[in-house]
Amino acid sequence: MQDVKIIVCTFLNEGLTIRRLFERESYPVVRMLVLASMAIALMVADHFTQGLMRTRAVLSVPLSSIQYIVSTPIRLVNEWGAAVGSREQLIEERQSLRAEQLLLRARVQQLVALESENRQLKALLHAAKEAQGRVLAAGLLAVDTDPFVHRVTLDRGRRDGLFVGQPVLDAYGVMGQVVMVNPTVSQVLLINDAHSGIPVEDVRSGLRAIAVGDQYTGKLRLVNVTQTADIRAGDLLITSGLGNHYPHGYPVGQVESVHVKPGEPFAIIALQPMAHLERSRQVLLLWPATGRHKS
Amino acid sequence: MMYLQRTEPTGSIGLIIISLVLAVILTLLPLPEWAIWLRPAWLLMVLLYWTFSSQGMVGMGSAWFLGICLDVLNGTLLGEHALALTLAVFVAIKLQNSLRLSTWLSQGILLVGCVFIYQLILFCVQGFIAGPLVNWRFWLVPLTSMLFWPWIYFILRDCQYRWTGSRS
Repeated sequence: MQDVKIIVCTFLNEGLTIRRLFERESYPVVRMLVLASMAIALMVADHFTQGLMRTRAVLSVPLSSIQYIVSTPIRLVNEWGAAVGSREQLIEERQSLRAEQLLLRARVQQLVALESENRQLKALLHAAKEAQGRVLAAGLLAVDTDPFVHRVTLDRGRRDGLFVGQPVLDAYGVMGQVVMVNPTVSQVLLINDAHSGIPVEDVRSGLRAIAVGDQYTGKLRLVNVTQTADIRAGDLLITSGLGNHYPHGYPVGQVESVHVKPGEPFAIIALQPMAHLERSRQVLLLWPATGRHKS
Repeated sequence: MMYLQRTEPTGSIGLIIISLVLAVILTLLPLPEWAIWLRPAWLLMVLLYWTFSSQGMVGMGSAWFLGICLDVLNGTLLGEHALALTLAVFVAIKLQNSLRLSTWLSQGILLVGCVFIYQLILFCVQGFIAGPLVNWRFWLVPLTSMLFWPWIYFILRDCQYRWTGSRS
């Protein structure tokens, strides 16, 4: 009993001391050390574990209103610019859209024929059916993240049924995947972020590899491809569908250069992403069909 | 809370919060491609202003908390900006206590040093995570921050005097 009392008293004293440390301005070194070590501990925990994802998600709910505040005036200015756009401009735009539509229709006709042919061939091979997934268009919030990270913020969230790991596309190729979902906004990790890896395959040679983001150039790199592998500049790489994360067959990037250094085990291969990662304002969210396609 | 009962003009909590939120908004505002690396360290500048002239209401604790907010908003490593802001504000407090800088110019020179420390910490953390950064524009941020310091200083001081003047 006596021991417990002593321990409680010590604790109370300690508590008082700690409180005094934080009340007075005269211990900046101690405060700095405490805060800095807390920050470092958080950084280590965030870098090596996934445990802080929930904390991040909870914290970002109130903060997402700031993102809306930033985005609204810019959106209004853009809308106003579109509203007062001159008549000639609109007519011109309409004509070019028409021409594009005609072109795309012609291509779709070809695609229909190809698709039916493909289906017949697959039926012959008894392959699993590749069902179409659901898609949803989303807009980017006009929010700049740090130049260190390649992420974008979308104006859709859990309300619209988004989930972590969801693939995101634009009109030209794969953009990335959803990494954080809030009720109203969500964050997408772009494929050129250093933390992103995406399984790809070469359309020409069928070679499989992993494309990871290159932090500071905004491009992609193919990792662990041997120097003798059949890959050339100009090859198109599509998602391979391995890893059950991104669906099969969407364009990822084009090989820009292949460097072979004697003495190194692997070739250095740079990819230019097909998606317009810095310019797209509209993106597509994909719900892959539940029956996974097996190749 | 004890600071609020002092009589000399200090910052009021409302003004401090509004200015810090504005700084966060400026940090998130989209910039053209060439200016991304030159964005002044808005949050650090406003924090330093209040460190110099709010008599203890704003300090390392606020810097740490806002750093965490910035990390969540930006999606950077949790604690990265918190560490950088805390250390920069710490250096400012230490030097301010020993040098007693009072004019906007001398505080501006101190600010350049603090922004440089801030950048250096971010550079080191990024270097550990994703390899060394090679963009030289990154190191111009102390100068761009210096360019905006007089505006921040005089606008905030004006607001501060008006706000506290109307209150008392």
